[in-house]
Amino acid sequence: MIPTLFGITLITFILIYLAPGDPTAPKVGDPGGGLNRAEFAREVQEARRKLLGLDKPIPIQYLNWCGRLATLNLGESYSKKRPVGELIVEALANTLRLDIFAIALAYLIAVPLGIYSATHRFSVWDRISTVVLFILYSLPTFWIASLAIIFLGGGGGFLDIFPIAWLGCTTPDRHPFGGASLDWAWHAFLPIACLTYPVLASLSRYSRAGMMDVVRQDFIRTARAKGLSENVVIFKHAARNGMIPILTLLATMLPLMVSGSVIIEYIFSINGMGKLMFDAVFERDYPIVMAVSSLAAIMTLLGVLASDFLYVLVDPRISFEKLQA
Amino acid sequence: MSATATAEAAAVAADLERRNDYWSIVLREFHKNKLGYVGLAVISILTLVAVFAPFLADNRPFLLRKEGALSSPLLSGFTSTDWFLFLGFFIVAGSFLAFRILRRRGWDRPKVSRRILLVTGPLWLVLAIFSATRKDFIDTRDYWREKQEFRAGEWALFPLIPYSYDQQNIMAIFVKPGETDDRGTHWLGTDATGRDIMARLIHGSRISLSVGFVAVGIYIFIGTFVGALAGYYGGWVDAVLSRVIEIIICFPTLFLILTVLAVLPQSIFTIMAVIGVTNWPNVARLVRAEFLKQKSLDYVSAARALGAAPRRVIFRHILPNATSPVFVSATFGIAGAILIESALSFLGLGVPPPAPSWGQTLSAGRDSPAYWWLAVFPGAAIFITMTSFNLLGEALRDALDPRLKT
Repeated sequence: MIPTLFGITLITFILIYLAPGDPTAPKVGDPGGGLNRAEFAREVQEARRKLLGLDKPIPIQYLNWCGRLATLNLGESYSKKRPVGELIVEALANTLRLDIFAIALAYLIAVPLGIYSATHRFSVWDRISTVVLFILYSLPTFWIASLAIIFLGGGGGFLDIFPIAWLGCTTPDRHPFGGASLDWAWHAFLPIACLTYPVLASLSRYSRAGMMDVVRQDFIRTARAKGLSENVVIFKHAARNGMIPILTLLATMLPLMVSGSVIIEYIFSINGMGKLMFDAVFERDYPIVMAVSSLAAIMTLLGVLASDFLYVLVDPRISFEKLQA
Repeated sequence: MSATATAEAAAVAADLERRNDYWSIVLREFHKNKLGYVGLAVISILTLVAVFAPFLADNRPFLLRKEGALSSPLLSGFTSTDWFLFLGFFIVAGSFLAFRILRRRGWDRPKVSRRILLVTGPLWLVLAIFSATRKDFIDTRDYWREKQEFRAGEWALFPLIPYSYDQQNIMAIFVKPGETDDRGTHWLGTDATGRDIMARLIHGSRISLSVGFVAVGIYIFIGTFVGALAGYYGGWVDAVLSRVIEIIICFPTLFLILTVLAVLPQSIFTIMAVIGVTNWPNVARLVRAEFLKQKSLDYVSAARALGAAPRRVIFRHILPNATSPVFVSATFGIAGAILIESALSFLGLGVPPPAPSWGQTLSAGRDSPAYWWLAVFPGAAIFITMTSFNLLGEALRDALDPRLKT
């Protein structure tokens, strides 16, 4: 855990240290007063280096940065001239709202689908859902999102049902859906749909496999043998065990989604984490790149940890000692 | 009479033996899965399209008879990439053919592999040097116009689609699919500068497939190596390598790739390298787990007891038994790499223009949504390619390890 954290910060630091461009390189005009221009430029550069702490040895710079990261002092964005922390909080709010809806929706569909597929194995609907989910699994999100803009967002002169950019606007009353939250839902429909289906496609595989594993086991036969109704057997005995794998996926899902939103946020012009990162990469806004990528990695790490906890919590057969082994 | 009988008996025996070795069982399992075959067929067609792209879509005639001389502007205008893919394809195909023939003759596998490597190795070297040192010849002649002024006895044989992927035409901007301009039909329409979408898709298959194969090749290589070391040696080697794997897995792939791309220059090789370098930890995990499982088996102890060096035990004994999960993961990985490449190109961070990447054409469709064909066709190409690799991956997984079947 601690070494991993150390590694994450070290990799981010090294990557950015290798990045081209010197933030202290000055643009200096003629200073006048008989001063040598090159001499002056060098002096200015040195002063700036001192100011930014870049005159210190690299390990000290790294430790300083770690200290700032630990106190959540993420510095200021080069291009937006605002504190990075503030920008991230703003972006994270948008991303999280979309992602939570998408994940909730994916679970709400995947769980019943998995139960149905496992209990009606090789039935017509099981086959159809398997095929449909397989297709969804291979559909690139940026294609579907582009098609949605063209065919549903009025871009191509076909249907014009959904807005294709931003999450709501400043004057929601002028739109068909008055009220801010309905307006938000209207704007968020396409992005959420595009975020949901890939998660759904991979989740439902796990839920089907998980259920299938459980349904075969002896305790299910016992439950049936002692005369429990089929509903109790499936929903109380089987589903609770069959859903353990996808429950623990929940913790790792959220950080994954945050980074997966790069494309969707770019396409629908949503100011979220993905777009923040994407713009920062284009503008070489290193404080943002550093902060966002190390935060995303730390979030993933915490997610993995949380999923271990969830495992132990929902399944008493597993203990931390066993997980270690 | 008796001679034919013994020959028959030998054939039957050979047949039996052949059917029970590992790969025959795998093949037989694979045969059962029709969808896997569909995937394999589509991938083969795509590979052929990619290798022979200039023969399918180019604005230079394949054969030209003019002023009494027969020439092939297409072949003389081949770029070093064209030659590399073209000749490389024949080397690969020849190796496969030789492998099958020599195996039929009853040679054992290592001997055949060694022999083929001995012959093709220098060929690859020559090909690499040839295409690296070759200067591309840029042909600016407009053969289509010349064709309009042909005299009697002069003729030209053009490829099926008489457009190249980067030939602009301001007289044919945003032509709808199936409509015709002065040169012929644009089956899939044209883009903002009048480039034929069909030609761009055909040439784009080269980028997608080569990124897919090379990137996956890179990360399978790194992942197998690291995983083998960690799994075989255990102890502090394993501890250190596992930590490294854990750290890299923590970075969301796309974020890591974006961060690296912020630092590196834009080119197709950067994309290949970046995808390769960021994705190896998953393979390393698989190989490590497989090594941990195999390490304690008797055959490994036997090999060690016979005095085999660690290098020999790792690469000759354990690795061949640990490849099946890697194969499966590689097949899915190619689909993933193609997706990442097209996503990066879509975001404008991929292969630099005018290279005809599918993702790039798709992003042009997103930028001018009034022209739906710009988005529909390249996306469909990505989708079909990914589906084929995923189908093949599923079939391979079922064939290599029937226990995993769901």
